[in-house]
Amino acid sequence: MDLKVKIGGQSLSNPIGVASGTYGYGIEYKDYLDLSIIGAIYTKALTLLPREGNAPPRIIETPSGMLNSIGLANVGVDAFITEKMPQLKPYSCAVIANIAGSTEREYLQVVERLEGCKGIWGYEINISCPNVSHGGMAFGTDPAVAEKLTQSIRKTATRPLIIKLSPNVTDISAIAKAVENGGADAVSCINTLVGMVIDTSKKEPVLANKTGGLSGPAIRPVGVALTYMVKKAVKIPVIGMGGIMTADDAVQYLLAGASAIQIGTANFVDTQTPLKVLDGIREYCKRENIGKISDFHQFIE
Amino acid sequence: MKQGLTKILSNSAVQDYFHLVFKWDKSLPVPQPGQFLNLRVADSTVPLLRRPFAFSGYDANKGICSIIYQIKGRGTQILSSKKSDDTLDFTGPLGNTFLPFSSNHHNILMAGGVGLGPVLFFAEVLINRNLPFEFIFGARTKQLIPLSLLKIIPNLTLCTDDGTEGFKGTAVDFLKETDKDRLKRSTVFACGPYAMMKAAYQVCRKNGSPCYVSMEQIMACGMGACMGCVVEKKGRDGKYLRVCAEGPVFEAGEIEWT
Repeated sequence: MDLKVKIGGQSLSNPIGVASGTYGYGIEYKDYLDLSIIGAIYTKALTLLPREGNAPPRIIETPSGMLNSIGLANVGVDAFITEKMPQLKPYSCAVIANIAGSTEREYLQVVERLEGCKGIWGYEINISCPNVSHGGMAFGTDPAVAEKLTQSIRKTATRPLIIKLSPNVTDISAIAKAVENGGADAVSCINTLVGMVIDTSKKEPVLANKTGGLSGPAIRPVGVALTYMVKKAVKIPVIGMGGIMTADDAVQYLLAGASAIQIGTANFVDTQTPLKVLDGIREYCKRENIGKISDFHQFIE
Repeated sequence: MKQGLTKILSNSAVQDYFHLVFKWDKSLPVPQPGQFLNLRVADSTVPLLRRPFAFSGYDANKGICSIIYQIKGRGTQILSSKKSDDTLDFTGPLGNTFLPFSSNHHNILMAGGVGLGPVLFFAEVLINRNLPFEFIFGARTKQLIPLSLLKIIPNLTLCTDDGTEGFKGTAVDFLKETDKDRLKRSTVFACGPYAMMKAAYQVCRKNGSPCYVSMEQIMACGMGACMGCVVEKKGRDGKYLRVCAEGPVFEAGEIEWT
């Protein structure tokens, strides 16, 4: 069986990714898991300058999920290149830099800097962060704006370009088509759903930012459905995510049309999840006579 | 740091608290006072995230560790139902420690309520090294004092808000009455409610005494990756510290107290 995934002319050793925002810069997990078994590590969103993020409380658990409003806290692209990337060198996993910006120019400046850094496999563009006022969600909710941003980045980016889509839109397929037209090599589907939890005794939202992004198993059926819809709309590969805890969850995404998957919140619950999911997908393939990733896509119309 | 499974030896109610004792194999990293574990209390999605608990003791010879907790929600409710021989799913030891501390300084250890855990562990380490310290424990009322857990402490002062046991007032009220010269020569280590740690810091600042506090915040990963568990850093310039990675123990002056 061949579990390789092709995106933009390059390949990933397997379809397992760890989602941006849940895996730091990868190295935080190195004592817990052999990072080399992971297909792709999607970094914490990188911005041109370091960001401290939002005021606390930033997280709260919800039924089968969690709400977060971190606010793109990150070390900034320059510190990522000089301090974090060298530490990832011993591992054979692909490093995909997740990029956020508040203007088109900022996205381009981050990509330009990363272009000069060896060892980065590709880019995932965050046009869907719900937690900052200029965190890219404006780019992710209007097809024309999303297409133009993708086009601009495409001109600079020589590596595979993945656009991470927001579920907080009326028609996700329209955005997916727009970024495909703009030159994206793949789409990630989905970012978190906007949510709010209110403390009834204090009569105020629990998160200081009031709203946050909902993730975890609670959103899995949404992610699977949107992956299915986006796959129908575009020819480029779809990377599915949202609430994957087990191999069976990941297989749902692959059957829905995903070519690869990302594990997010589950990394907080069980650091061994990427390994367990990878092993479980292999077993499923053996059992069901699936020889390659695209074979998953023949079952569901 | 490791994710693993271990075996529960006992999980007993002590007044308002639970004292959970579990095996800690010699091959595991030695926990230090202040460090914590992130426990997965159920193999389900509700509750979903691990729950952080400070180590309250470690016995290298017996190969056992303990935590002290209180039932606060569904996670701790489930934890309280665990029995000896049940499995405990942990990541840890996580975070920094109360160490290194100055051995030529006088040490004042302060704990409020369920904040007892890490301070008790610290006291245990000081006892093992024959270092002198005094220990102040505060609770609302006599019934909330876990005497059986405190019996190892030699210089113990009990404080109750209602005066039903020991000093009448909070642990910080008692600290304020400490001889000023002695307080100046002391380092204070505290864990308890936010208001208690803040008040302890204010007393220390006035007297020029170093003060270390073990902070609490809602956590997800516990290992510095998710950036969820921050507290505001001193300076009001919008900088934050991760409780799990830079802490949980902070020099109290690093924190922007609100």
